[in-house]
Amino acid sequence: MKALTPSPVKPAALAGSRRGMLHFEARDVTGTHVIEARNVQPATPAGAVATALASRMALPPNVPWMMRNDSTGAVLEEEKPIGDQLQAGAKVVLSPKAHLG
Amino acid sequence: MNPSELGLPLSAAPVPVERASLTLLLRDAETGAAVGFEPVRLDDLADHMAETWRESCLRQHHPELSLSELSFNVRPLLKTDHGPACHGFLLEPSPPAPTSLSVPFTAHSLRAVATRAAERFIGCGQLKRGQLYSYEVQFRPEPERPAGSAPVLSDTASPPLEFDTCDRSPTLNWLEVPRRSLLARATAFPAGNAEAFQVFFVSSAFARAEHFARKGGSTTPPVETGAVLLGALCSCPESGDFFVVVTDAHEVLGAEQKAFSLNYTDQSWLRIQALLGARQAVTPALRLVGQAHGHNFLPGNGQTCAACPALPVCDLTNVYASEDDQLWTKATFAGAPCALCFIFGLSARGDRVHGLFTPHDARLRQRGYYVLPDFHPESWPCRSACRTPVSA
Repeated sequence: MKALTPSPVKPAALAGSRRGMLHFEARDVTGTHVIEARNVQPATPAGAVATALASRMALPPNVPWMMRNDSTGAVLEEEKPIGDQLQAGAKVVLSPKAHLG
Repeated sequence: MNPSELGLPLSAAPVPVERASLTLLLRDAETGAAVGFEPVRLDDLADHMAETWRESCLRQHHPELSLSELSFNVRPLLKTDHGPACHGFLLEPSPPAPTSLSVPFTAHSLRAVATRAAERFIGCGQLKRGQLYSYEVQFRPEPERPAGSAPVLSDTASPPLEFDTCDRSPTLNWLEVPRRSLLARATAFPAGNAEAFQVFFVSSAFARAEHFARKGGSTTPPVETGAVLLGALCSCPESGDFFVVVTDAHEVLGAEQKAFSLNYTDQSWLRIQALLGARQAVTPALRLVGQAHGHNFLPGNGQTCAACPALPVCDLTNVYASEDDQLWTKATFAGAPCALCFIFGLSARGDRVHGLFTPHDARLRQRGYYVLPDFHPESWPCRSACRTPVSA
């Protein structure tokens, strides 16, 4: 939604990733939201990146999110740097840590 | 005569949703004393915006409009012309959207905000845990905003991470299907809101959903089990209305099944996404439209009332959308055009009962559905909207 993407547009930055930075594609479990993330600091904990991605997809902030590498099926460890767990160009899926009752 | 004298809500001038200026006032339910204010944040209205998109665009001849292309205005429905209290509010797409149909929302739609506020007030000692409270929606534009309730235009819970994103979300695919061709062959199961968008189940999909949802009822002790619902979004070329046809149900495998909960694990999602991908490669209009699960426990521990043997129907059932169901649906289907929550449950005396719930007034509410003998998605033209990626 326009209203939920407050960051300014940076077309130049989107043209390519800066050296040493990570780029990958993220989507939610239903495939409704897909975003390409670029220039992510590899040292950032994966959990913090998941939260930020969920916010940019306008997913509910009151739910914790986990990230899964789509090609390996591995769930990313929240506390570990995302750069240690993902290759550039990877695809990840954000899943809510919630259950039906 | 003033509309307030007629008991009609007063609609204030529309304001952009980013500056909705809505606030909740929490009160002690017993004394009526004010506990404090909680601002309604932009992300609190995400479900409201998705519902407004569905009702005012998808159901009004405009399935080609994507949610991300729209901006919204809020019109508070004031109780009087001299105070900030509101019955609720209207939400409508703002120009240049080709439609401006307003969708009403009640104070109930902001219950999650009230819950968040209560937790905050408990944390700072302004409310005791277990203390009953009520809440009121108020419209407070900038000059009269109370102290401590500064507007929050975006999600302040997000960490300030700096990176670039580009929206690559797929466009909506839908089938063009004259609705009357389905209604002529369908069996109706009415319930709840008759104005809700129509949902059709192919009978085989319904049977599979029930089978998988009730599967956990045969274990000792009973556990919750379920299925994901696959189907197609459809637009009627005659009425311009939008509806859903559920074509299949697939068991949720690898889930954590407990007596009162069902947790999709990453392995569950891995299988669901592999299945969905394979199905979409053949029929692009198919998508995940919802889920079904079983409440396989006896409500009230199976205690029936004295009149039970003489009653044709036991109305003590466990067919309701729990708080967990509400949260799971909001998280899993955020921004999706539809989110079906089908619950197969039991009455206290063990009768099999069930109900369909979909978002209405930004919460899951029971509604009716139809059952079709068959439906072949590949027989109908598939349409897709054009869209330009959005950078942020």
